[in-house]
Amino acid sequence: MSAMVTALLLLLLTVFPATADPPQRVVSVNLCSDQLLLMLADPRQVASVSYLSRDLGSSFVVELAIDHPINHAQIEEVISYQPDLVVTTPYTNPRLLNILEKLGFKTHRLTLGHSVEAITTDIRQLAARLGQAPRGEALIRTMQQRLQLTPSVRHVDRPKALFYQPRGYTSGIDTLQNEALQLAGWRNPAAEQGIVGYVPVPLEQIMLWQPDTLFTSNYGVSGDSLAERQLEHPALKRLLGHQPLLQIPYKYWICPGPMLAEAVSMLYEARVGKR
Amino acid sequence: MITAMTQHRLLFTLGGLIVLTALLSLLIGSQAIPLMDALHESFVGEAGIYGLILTELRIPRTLVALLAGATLGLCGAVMQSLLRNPLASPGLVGSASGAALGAVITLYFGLATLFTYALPLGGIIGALLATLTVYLLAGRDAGTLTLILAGVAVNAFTLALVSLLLNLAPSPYAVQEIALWMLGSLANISRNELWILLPGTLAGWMMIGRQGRSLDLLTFGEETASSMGAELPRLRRRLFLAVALAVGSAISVTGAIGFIGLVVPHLLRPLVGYQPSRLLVPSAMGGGLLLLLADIGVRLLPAQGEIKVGVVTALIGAPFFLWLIIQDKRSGL
Repeated sequence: MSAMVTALLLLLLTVFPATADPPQRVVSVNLCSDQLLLMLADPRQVASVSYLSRDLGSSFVVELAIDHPINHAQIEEVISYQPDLVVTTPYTNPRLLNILEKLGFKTHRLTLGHSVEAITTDIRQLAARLGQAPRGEALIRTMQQRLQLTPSVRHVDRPKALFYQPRGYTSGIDTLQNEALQLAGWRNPAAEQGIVGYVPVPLEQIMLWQPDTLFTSNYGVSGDSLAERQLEHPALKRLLGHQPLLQIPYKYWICPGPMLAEAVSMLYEARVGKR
Repeated sequence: MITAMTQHRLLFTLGGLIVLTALLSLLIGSQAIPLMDALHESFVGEAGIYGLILTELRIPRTLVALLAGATLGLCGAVMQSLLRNPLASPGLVGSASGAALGAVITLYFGLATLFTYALPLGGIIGALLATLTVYLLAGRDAGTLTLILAGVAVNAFTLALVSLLLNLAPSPYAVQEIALWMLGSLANISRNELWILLPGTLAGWMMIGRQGRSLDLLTFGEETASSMGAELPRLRRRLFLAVALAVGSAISVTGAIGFIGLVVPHLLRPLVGYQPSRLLVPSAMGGGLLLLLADIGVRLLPAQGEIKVGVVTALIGAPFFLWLIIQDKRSGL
C-alpha cells in the first residue's frame, strides 16, 4: 500500500511539477465537475460552479455550492472569472473547450467513467491538480470503507434485479446502476444478456427476465406523464407480487462520484431486507 | 342494388378477418412466447410469466386496437355522411387532434390523477370543441376545399398547442411524448387504459347506432331530408356529441391516429351500395381491422423502441388520400 502511494506521488510529481502553484480561481461548468470540485477544493479556490449544483433534485453539494457564484457554461461567463483552471467533462460543449484553449486557459478534464475504479481515478487526479491530494485520499478512503460494508455474495445466491425507468429504460453493462447492483450483490439480467448502456427495452422483455425486484429512479420533481404511468402497468405489479418498485433518487446516478457508495448501501439493504 | 345477402357476406368476411388478425396479434409481440404455455397459464394452470404477458399485455392491447380503430372508422363514416363530404374524417375535421389536446391538458397538469375519467373527459371536450370550430368556420354543407382548409387550420393550431403545453408541463418526460400524441401509439397499453376508453366509446357508438336512417335521408339533400321527417339540427347535435364521446375517449388513450377514419369508409362505400346506414357497421369493423393490422406491423418492424402506430397508418393512408384527390379531379369535382 505505502509503495503504491509512493509510486503515485512520484508519478504526480512528474506530471505536475511542484513549481506549479495550486490554482486559486477554479471554474466548473457541469454538475459532475461541480460536485467533485466542491468536495475536494478549499472554498477559497472555487470561483464559480454551474447553476445545476444548486438543484436539490440532482445535486449532492447544494450546501457547498450556495456560497459560490453560478454560471450557465457560457463562454463569456467563464472568462469573466479569469479562471486559472476550468474543470471540464467529456460532455462539455466542444466549442466552449475550443475557445478556452485558444485563449490559453488551463483545463482539467474528468473521465466520468462508470465504475468505482474510474471514480477513484477522477478524484485522485483532480485532488492532485488542486493541490489537495490528502483530501482526495480521505474521500476515497471513506468511499471504500462504505463499500466494504457490503460483503460479496456467490453468483448463484444472488437475486435478480433490474432498473426500470420511465419510458422503459433499463441499465446494462457500463452504467453506474449496473456497477452498484453488482457491488450490492444483485444479478442484473440485462447486463448478463449483453445489453450495454442505458437503453429502452420492451415490457415483454422485462417480464421474461423475471426480476425479483425492480428499482427505478425518476428524474426531478415528477408530474404526471405516460412515461411514469408505464411503471404502474398491472403486468409489472403482478410480476412483482404487488411489491412496489423501489425508488433510488436520481442524484445518486446522474454523476459518477463517491455517493455511489451510498446508492450501493441502499441496494444492499433492499437485498438483505428481502431475505 | 345491394341485397341483404351481400351485406351479410361483407360482415362475415370482415368478422372472420378480425378474429384471425386478433389471434395473430396475440401471437406476435416484441418477444417470442410459447402460446400453448401462455394459454394454459392464463386459463387453466397457475399464473406464470407467459400467462401474464398474454393476459396483461397482449389481450388489452389487441382489444384497445380493435375498439379505437372501430371508433375511428365508424366516426369517419358518420362525419362523411353528416357533412356530405368525402373528406370529413375525425383526423381532418379536428376531432382527433382536439381530443389529443384535451387529453394532454388533463394528463400533464395533474387533473387526470383527480379521478379516472378526467382523462377521457378532457379528450371528449377537446374533440367536441375542435369539431365545432371547424364546422362553424366552414359552415353547413361547405365545399370540400373550405372544409379542408378549416380543418388544416384547426389541426395546426391544436397540435401547436399540444406541443407548447408539453413543453410547459411540469413532468421532465412530457416533451418526449409529443410524437406519441401526434402520431398515436398502442405500446404498453394495459387493462387500465381499456377501462378508460370503454364507457365513452360504447356510449358514442350507441348514440350513432340509431341514426342510420336519418343519414340515409340526408343523401337526398338537407331540404328533402327535412321534408321527409329528419330533424336536422337535432341530428347534427346528437352526432357531433356521439363522435366527440367516442373519438375523445379513444384518442385520450392512444393519441391522435390519422387516416383510418378517412380511408376505411371510402374503401367500403362501394361495397355497401353507397348507403350511409349500411356503411356504419362495416366501417367500424374495417377500422378495427386496419388499426390492428397496423399495430402488428409496428411490432414486427425492427427498431430500438417502437415506431408509433400513426406512422404506419399514415404510410398507408397518405398515398390513398392522394389517390382520392386525383380521382376527384378526374371525375371533375
